[in-house]
Amino acid sequence: MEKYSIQIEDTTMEVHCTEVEHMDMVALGGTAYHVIHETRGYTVEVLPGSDPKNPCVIVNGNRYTVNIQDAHDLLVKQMGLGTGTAQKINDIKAPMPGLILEINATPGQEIKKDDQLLILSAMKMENMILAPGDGIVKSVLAKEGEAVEKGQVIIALE
Amino acid sequence: MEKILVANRGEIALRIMGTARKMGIQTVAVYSEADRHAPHVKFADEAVFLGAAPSSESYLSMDKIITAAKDTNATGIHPGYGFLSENAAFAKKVVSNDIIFIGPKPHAIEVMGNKLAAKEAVKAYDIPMVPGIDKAISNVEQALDIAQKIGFPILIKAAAGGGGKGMRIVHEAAAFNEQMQRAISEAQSAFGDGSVFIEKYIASPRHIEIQVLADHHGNIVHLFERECSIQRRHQKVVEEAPSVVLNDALRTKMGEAAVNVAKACDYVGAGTVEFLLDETKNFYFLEMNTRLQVEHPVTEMISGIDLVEQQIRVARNEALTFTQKDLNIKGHAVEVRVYAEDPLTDFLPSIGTLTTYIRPEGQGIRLDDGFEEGMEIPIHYDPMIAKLITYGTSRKEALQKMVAAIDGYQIEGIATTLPFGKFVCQHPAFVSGNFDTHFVKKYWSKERYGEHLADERKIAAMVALQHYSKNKRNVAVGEEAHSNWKANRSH
Amino acid sequence: MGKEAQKETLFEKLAKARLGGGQERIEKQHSKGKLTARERIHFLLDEGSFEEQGILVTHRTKDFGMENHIYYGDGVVTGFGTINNRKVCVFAQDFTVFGGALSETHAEKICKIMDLALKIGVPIIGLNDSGGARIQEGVRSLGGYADIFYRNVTSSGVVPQISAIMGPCAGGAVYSPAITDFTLMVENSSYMFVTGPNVVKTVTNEEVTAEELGGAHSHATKSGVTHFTASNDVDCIHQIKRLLGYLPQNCEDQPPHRPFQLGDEIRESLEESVPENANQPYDMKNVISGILDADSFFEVHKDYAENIVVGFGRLAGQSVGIVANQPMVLAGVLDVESSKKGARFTRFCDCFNIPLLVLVDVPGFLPGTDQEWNGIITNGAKLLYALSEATVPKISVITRKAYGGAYDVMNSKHIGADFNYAWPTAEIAVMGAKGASEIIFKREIQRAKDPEKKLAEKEQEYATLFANPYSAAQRGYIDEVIEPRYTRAKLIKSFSILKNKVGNLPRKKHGNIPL
Repeated sequence: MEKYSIQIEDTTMEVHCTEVEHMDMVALGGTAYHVIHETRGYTVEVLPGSDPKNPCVIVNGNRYTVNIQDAHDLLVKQMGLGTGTAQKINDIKAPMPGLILEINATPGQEIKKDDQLLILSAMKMENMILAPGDGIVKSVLAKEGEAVEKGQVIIALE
Repeated sequence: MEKILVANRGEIALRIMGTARKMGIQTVAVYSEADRHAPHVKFADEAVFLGAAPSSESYLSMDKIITAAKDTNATGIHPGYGFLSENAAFAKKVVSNDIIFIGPKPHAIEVMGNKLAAKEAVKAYDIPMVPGIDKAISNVEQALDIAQKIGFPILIKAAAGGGGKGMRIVHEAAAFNEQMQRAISEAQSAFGDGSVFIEKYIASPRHIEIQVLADHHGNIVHLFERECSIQRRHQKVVEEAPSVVLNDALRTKMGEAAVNVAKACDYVGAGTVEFLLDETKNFYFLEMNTRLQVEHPVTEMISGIDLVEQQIRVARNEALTFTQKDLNIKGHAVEVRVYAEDPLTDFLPSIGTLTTYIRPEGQGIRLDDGFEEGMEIPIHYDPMIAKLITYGTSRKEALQKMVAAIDGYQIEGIATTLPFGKFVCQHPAFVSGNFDTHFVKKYWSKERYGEHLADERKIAAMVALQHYSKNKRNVAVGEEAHSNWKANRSH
Repeated sequence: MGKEAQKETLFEKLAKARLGGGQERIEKQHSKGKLTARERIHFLLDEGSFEEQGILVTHRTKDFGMENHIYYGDGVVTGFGTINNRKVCVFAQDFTVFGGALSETHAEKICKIMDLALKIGVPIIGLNDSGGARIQEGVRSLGGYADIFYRNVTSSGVVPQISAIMGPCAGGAVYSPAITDFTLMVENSSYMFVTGPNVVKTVTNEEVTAEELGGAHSHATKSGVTHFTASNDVDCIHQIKRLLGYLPQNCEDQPPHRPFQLGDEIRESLEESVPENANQPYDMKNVISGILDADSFFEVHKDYAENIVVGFGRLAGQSVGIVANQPMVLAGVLDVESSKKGARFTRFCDCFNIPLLVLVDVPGFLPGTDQEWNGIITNGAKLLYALSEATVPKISVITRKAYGGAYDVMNSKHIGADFNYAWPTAEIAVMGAKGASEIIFKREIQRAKDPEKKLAEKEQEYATLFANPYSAAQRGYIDEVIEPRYTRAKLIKSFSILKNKVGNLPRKKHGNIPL
């Protein structure tokens, strides 16, 4: 029977088609369903218009982004083939929009994991951004006092 | 007082204006560049533009606000909470411009705003205090010395502060210097005053506060307690009234202590006296907040008294129409603060646009909010977007209503503390009443929350797969866009 | 045979066919980082849309014991389906069966699906992964190749043809991709050459690896044989899908138009794109991305002849082809390779109704024996021919230099451009001010006390007169001198008004482009 690997946020689970077939699920019209699982009831809606393989599912009011991977997807993952031009995970990016108060890094500087690299202020709170690992600072791409967007690279590492 | 200016924004501005309107009082809103579309601006009878988005150029600009009041002939200013609400200089300026400041006298703000002066003032009433130093300092070495004398763990607090800014717990001497510097710098940027207090850190405290109300005629009452132990980053997220750990005797004792604190500074209006309660139910005076609290609605729900209305009446020099004897606790109320923060990433601000915003409805549900669907959450201000309050005849009922209300409250576009609120209201520790201010540290983590939701995830996965399999059976032939192919090629 | 048994027979045959050359060979293919033919099709087409044709075809060779080696499908998977909801025909060679070697029946299957594509007017995509001809079949296999070539040629300009090289492609086999419109190669797992390293060694004594001789990198940078390179199979498939998004189904149809909400289309960033100093290089790709819809530029021949930039983009949702000089590389000069690159791209766009946007900053043609002996005359003429011949909407924007003959070539008014715009920084002249002054005022300069100073004076004089777009604008060679910030808005409006443009060439069999 067909087996799928399903990812929701950071949890991955394996689901067999048979499991799904035996699920107590009734349609409520449209893409809404009512499910009874171990005597508990759940109201579920698959957001219309979302990609069936990456749907957005709302369970009891909580929203989940589901990623369904079939045997082909798993093969590609296992072979390490991907389309994304491998983004360097090392760059220090702003986790949220905010204002840079202080940067404690200069190009060429060696940094250790958990070094305090910069202070980002957002909504009146100062947030210390720590080094995710060891590395060498390649360049500093923002200035103190500068407002940054979420995801903007602030410090590039080599 | 026929017209008041509300020197604030968001839900509290709206909430104050609501009561004012009910009392037949005209309202004036003030707003910054970021808030032109905010509901408080649209709700008010008049609105005055203050300046650029940063608070220093708008909601913290005393002169602009006083000018706005004068230009609109407002005879009273309500400062709300935060911003200028506990700024004695502002209160003085307001008064010296012949405008009524809806709040305590500048003297009370001054005394209670300075922890040292506050302690000094209440000395005569024999109020219990947490061991610590008497004067604020900003010298790191000296501070370390004091910290070692008191003994770790210790707590660093901004002298001028509140709201958790400039507050740090230090467990060991090694981490002290760095934390001290951060605290000073945060205090400096938030309040313009970098000096801090150091005190003994109580390991398993509950945060209990008493609401007091005083008029200009010497009448003073307390409106019972609020339990505010569920905090993250030293800021309250879930509050309730009454507290499950207080019995009538302790309630009376703490209430009297609170009334005494208020007397000590000659307090008028609505104020809050904060206490820490340790495991053996000893309470310690923490500070007095000389303003309306964020969490005031839970008190309103159980006492049946509109605190804003009382504030305005007191400001109009009216006498309280009730005494302590007239006051009773009726039912139970819970509040969840809805912050634009992602509980799954350490409560980091989550900024964006409210693409979906649907309010919960139902009996016993109160929502104090200041946003609408489609609005952006500005980065310049506090990330609180709403307060969800539920009321029931029992605590159990109030909690059940809260869970239902959270399910019915649909916010998309940003992450909020709502799931956290639901988690708290369903958590055995909270439900049983056995919790302290370390609730978040003890029970909340992404992983634990994940466990909590594992079933829901499983259901989401199975339904998604079912939906996908069903979809796969559907025949698709591609879109039939208009084509010239056949027409042009058929000859 | 009962009904059930009949069904069993079918299931058995299909299961066997789907296994290609068998589990072992599939694993071997995977171990090389390559997907199988069917897996590639799975990722290329919309899920569930693929309908395979000729799955049960087998070869007919009885020589060399081949009758004992029969595989269903005969080493190629063919069929139709959809990509992003648009119909396509596709074939994928199956390396697990005889190394994807091409037999008579293998070729027949490819021809059949190509015929279908031509009949119904949809793109044909070939995923190549083949060791070459099936030698056991001898001349029949050669015939098979030619049948494919012939169809490539007859389909050329009728339906888009795309070739992905996802494994070996050697000998005669290379000529099919060569004729198709676009070729993509996967890095490190594909190569293309007419003669392999062994033959090269025997004939010329040259030592070269297969990768160096005909790998993706060599063909992307040196020969220009491949238009795109991909880091792996999945990336390659992803690029094919992206490319198709800009192309129409056939030459009778218009390229797809993405829904687009027009709003404020003024782009301040364009004001900064040309530097103050006229001799300072700048990146034309910034101008391109400033003009186009966000993230819509899809560059073709990215690493080949980089002094000209070509590629697809969208302007208010509408597909456009961009041909632009690149001042960053060789000052954007036109040479043999860049002319060929620009010409081929231009002709593709013209075949398939894709409007052309030409961005001009060109100092002229590259001088020198190398260029002259390699035929810059003939090759430069290709670009001139292609741009003149194109009847799709053609608009050019001169950002800075437009000197000499290169001005004429780069989609000038005189060769049929519909609208010619220039930025205030444009210099439209026969040559640069210095060169021009040296010729015009030769004697005067020679006679001067201080020839250097005189030259500078005259250079200034010439520059004031001609190093601007205004004398061209006075003659109507330039329709409007525009502020850079309005470029995008103007182009959206201009291409929109040209939507139903009919541009007819005199009746002819076909023109004779200087090849």
